[in-house]
Amino acid sequence: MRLALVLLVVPRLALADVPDDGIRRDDAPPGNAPVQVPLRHKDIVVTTPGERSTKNIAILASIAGAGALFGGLGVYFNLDSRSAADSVSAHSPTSTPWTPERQATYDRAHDSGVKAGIFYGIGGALIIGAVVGLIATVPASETTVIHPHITVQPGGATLGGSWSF
Amino acid sequence: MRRLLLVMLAACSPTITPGSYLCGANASCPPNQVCDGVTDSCVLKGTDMPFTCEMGTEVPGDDTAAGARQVPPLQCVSPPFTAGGCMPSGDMQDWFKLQTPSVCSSVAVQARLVYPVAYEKLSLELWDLTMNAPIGTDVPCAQSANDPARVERCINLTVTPGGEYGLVVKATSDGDCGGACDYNRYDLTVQLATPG
Repeated sequence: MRLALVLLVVPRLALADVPDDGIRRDDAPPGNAPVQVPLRHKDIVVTTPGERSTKNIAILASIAGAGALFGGLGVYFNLDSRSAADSVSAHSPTSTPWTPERQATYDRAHDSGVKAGIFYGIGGALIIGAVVGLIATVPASETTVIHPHITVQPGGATLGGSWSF
Repeated sequence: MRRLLLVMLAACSPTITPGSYLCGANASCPPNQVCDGVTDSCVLKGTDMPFTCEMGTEVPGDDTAAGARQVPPLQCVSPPFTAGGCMPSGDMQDWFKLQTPSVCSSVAVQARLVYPVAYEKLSLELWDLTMNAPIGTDVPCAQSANDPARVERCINLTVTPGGEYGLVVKATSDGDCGGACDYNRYDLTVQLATPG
């Protein structure tokens, strides 16, 4: 899409901004058509970042939150497993017998370790999924290019621009 | 902080060095370990030794009152006499006999049986050999060392001075690993005291 818009007409627009192109305006025959002054200004590029929809944010936040929740459960079972393991681990004679309670603690250490691994896996997968989703659903940004132009004419100038997006 | 977190989250498997624990009931041990029959401690498979009776603790023929091991003469108030005993597989009972002095106005037999929790449970009975009948059975000891690796059973019974009594240690077939550890060793302590 290309638009052209006359913004304003500036009487006696100062020509200071216009680079010296070697044309003498005084030499122009009076009453002739406006002179198009070539400009060497760069285009103005305006980039507007796209905005995520509320639904997209909610879904990604839910996935990440679930990942964090499962990760938290993983930490809980990890710590429980470690606590149980510490309570039955021994590196020197304890002078105490192996009991069903110790066996249960031993089993708990193993079970909680397995649960911790499972929850870590699920939580990690969800968080990775949320990150991938975050990247995959980045809304496209909008870029607008403005081509400024000035038309100098006797008694003033016209400043305008055209832009595309 | 990060290192602390890693340490907290790491090493969730118990590490048990062989020999750290004594054998539990039914010769139970941590996974991958077995009960050593000599030390009663849990060791790695393949390094365990079979149960054996120490020299002099198993007396052939003590399965009846007639073949009972004699407790040395005790005074009315005596110091403890301790005898080590052993019941290998198939041995059902060991007999001990003692006499109470006739000069005592009153006398009580105090007997304590202590054995590892790892193997077959044992019981203790007091018999009146004159009547050839049991007169008492073991109960939990009033004063115990509270050693979880050992079972303590006691008899504290007033008896007649000048009598002949027998103490019988019996295999109960309980806690014998389903027959795989139907043996045990024990210490029997006997003393006479004034009833009170």
